[in-house]
Amino acid sequence: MIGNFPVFFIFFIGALILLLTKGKLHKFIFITIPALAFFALINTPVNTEIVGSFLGIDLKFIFIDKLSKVWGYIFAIMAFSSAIFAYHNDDYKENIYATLYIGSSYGVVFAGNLLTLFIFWELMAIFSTMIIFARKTDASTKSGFRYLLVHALGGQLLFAGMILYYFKTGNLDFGYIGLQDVATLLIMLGFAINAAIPPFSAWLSDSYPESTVTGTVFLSAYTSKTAVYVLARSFPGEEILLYAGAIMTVYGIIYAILENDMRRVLSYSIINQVGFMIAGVGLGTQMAINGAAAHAFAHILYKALLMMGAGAVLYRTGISKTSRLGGLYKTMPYTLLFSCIGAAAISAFPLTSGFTSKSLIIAASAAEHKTFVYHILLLASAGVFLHAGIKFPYFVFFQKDSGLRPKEAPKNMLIAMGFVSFLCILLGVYPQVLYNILPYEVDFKPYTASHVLLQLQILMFSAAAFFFMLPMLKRTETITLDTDWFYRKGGALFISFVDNVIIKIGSKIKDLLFTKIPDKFSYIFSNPDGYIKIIYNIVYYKVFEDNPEKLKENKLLLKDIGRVKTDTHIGISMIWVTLFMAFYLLIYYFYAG
Amino acid sequence: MNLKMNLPALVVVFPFFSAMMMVAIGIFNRKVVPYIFQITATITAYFAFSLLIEVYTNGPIRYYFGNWIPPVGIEYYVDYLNILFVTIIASIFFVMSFYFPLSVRKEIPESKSYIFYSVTTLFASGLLGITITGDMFNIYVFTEISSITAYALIAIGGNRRSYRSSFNYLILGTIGASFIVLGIGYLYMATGTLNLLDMQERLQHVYNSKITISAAAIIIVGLSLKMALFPLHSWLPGAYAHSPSTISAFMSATSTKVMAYLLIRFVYTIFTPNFATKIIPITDIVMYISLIAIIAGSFLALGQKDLKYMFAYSSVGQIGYIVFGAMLINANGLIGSIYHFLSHAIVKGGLFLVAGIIFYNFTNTKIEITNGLFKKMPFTSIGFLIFALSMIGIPATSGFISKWYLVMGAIETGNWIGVTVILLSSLLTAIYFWRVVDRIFFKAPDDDVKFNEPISMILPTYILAGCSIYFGLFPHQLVNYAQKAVLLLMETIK
Repeated sequence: MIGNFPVFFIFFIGALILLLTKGKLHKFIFITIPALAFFALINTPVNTEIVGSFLGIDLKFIFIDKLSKVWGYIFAIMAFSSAIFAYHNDDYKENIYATLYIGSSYGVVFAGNLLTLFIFWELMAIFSTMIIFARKTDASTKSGFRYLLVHALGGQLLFAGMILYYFKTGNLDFGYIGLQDVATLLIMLGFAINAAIPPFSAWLSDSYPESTVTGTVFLSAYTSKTAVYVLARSFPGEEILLYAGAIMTVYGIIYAILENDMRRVLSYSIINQVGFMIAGVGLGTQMAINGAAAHAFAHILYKALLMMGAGAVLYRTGISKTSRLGGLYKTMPYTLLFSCIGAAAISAFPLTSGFTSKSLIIAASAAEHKTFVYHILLLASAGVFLHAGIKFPYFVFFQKDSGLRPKEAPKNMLIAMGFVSFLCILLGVYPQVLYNILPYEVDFKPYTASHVLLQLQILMFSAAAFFFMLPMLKRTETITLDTDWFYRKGGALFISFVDNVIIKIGSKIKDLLFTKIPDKFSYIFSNPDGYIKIIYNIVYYKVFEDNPEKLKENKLLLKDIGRVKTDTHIGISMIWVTLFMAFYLLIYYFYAG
Repeated sequence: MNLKMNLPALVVVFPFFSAMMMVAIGIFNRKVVPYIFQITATITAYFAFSLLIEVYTNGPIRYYFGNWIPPVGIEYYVDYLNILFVTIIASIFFVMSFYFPLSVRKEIPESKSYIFYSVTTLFASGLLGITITGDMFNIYVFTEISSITAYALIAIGGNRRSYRSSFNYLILGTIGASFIVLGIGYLYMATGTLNLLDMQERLQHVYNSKITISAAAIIIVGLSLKMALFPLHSWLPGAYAHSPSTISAFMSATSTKVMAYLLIRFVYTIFTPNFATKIIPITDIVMYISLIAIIAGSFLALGQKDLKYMFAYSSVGQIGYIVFGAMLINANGLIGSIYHFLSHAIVKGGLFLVAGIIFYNFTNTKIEITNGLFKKMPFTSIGFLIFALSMIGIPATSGFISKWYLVMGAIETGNWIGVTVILLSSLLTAIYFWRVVDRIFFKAPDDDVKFNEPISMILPTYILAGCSIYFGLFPHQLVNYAQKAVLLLMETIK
């Protein structure tokens, strides 16, 4: 029975219950919802379909197969651990929005057709914006609006693509689409915006660091990963995605190394990690899709862990700039431990989840003889260690002593981080747990001597590089002018172009269409008869009777047509009735005769 | 003698007699009249729904009064089309009946209240009569019943403007009704029968007669006037804006639409599309006028400074949608038209209920007083938002479904002007509703006064809002019903 019950209903009903409850019960339910969803999902058979018809079109509303189940599982696990992490949070609204946000991303992942997908896609954008707004600072409000605009654009592209696609093919089923024409290109662009593929990636690093300690943890997991899912389902094997993914991995690293704010570093590293997944999707072989799915699964966990660590530090110190942090190992040992596990996992140390998932993708690229991409990915893995693996823990917890002596993170945070750390290591030690739920058969042994050796070499060399280049990297402490300039030159040129040119033109057009023209029309139509009368008078006094005084008087009245009195309506209506009568009779007689 | 057999008569006769009873009882005890009113509305709705089920399980009903077989006797003809409209009118009447007592206490003098209830019921029974009857002269009689009661109801508000609007409507409404009766007279002259189906039969032999053609012209003008099709709409805004809130809500939801129903009846059942498209171009001309009406109504609504006026002018535009869909002579267009009948009845009725709640607190409905209304009257504001979205035609509201079908119908008949106009007017609707939404939700309120939102007024509003969303999400059943109705109407083309 429960098998045919779409999982995301649990979240939407749960959100309703959350709305009505307060206090401990509220928090308890908040944690229970994902747990329920998880067990409901286990009982959901593979290839579940719910079919119906809407507006005369037969639609597969829900479609669940092995691929979507991978995302389903990790979303539930993630929601569960973040709910524990957010246990101390008394902002009920944020919890409700988070629940709705998660429910909508489930809707996307289980959508059987483009229409359902589109609706949940938009809901996701709206609720995630609400989460960003929840921090209630000026910066978060502004970046929330920017976030919403970008996603609205994505939604519109997707919608336009969907309509064209429907007219061309006559079906809306969500399955393999493939890049063929304008319609599919629009759909892909819509997906690409959520996947944060450059140059559409600015929203991610702009908004995630601005949301609350708990909000970021939620946000980091869903939006970009649902995008990876939809790309994996509809555009596997598209060459362009392969290169886009490769570029993303490098792009993310460059910015992450240059960044100072710790959550911004981690946000850029999301882009880098999603790049691996996109590259996997672009390869499109069974092994690569497996790799993308596995990496999404693993990445959600360790990125959440890192975000939680950063969140705990921010929660206790109120500081997120790495240059002002340091020496926290003394008072926050557990947070340090868990962050280090997260850092190890993201850097793909053997025995952690990153190792078992990322090597799938890299091996898949090698198997396809994509030498160039293979090397880029290797380079990027080294870079990951540099920025997320060492830089984040080193600058936050060690480095110089900043004099800060914050308390250890709250218990609920530690429990959440502990739980996720456990999973990270579990998946590293027993990768079969993960491999079993992947969409295709896995014929891959991560722990061969050559793999482990290669990975350790990469890690050791980049670790060496880190400490050799430490003085250079430390420059981020104060953001000197040259790195600042370098940073802005690269990324902010685009942002400033959007801000100054596109936004300005856009707001002009918006003003014109939604304020100026309607105002003009509403002015005229507040007294249309009067307006016509005045226009008639002006023409009359200008053309037929040269009377400048009356002309001037009428021109003044044009500015204030509310004062123009017109005749009562009955007479005019009578004329209309007569005219119509005559008109109809004439036409009908003429036509029939 | 069972209830089921006589349902078609009961739907009309029951409220009719109940209205008489209200006056009789009201003379002795005014306080019970609202309860009788509510009970009447409930039972009428029950009858309508039973009839709906009856018709959709056993097919159209021909009910002969006193068992006199037509063309001698009077017939009530209930088919898939008008039973839908009967049910819609009866259910709107039912939902709004809960809204009446508070609003009436506020706006109607105590001494007149029982008369008011009685006349309202009579008005409803007149509308139900127009939709259900299968006899031409009966149509005229019921038109007059509903019109005369409407004049009285508008004037009952008691200020100078409502008298003037009522008088305005009286003159124009009477002209419209006379045109209709004149046209019916011509048709009678040509065929010698007053029964709908009989006339359809006999008219075929006199299609080219000048009498028939003149009758068509006269009836179309009369109906255009009664349903306020631009530019014959001038009675409508005043009538809606200056009548009591309950009446403007009920009238806007039903009265002009019933006339649109008559237009569909005349074009499809009596004249049949063969006549209306091939012999004389009724449908083409009316369709283009309706497109002008859509645009003009939207523009005029843009210029209003009063909520009720804005809604009224938007009704002028919206009636254009219903007429447009019907005049396409296309199955999807007609489904859209029928769906819009329902959607607009719900939404515009609901909007006037919202205006009524605002009037209840502010005693006026100027747009400028709605600044920051969300802080003062949150429930009302959210109701307004839902209706506004439905008016614009956002997916998941009933307005979207009707526009969808209208656009499909227009595309299928290659009517690209129609498609453009519908999309353009959606944009205009969005603009003029969004200005109010913007005020309500985003402007700071002028003061901190809290207002009360009585549950008996909020509940009917929310039921209508819920209906709008329900029919936006689950349109299948109603679309199936409409499809059945359309199939029956389209039969005459072959």
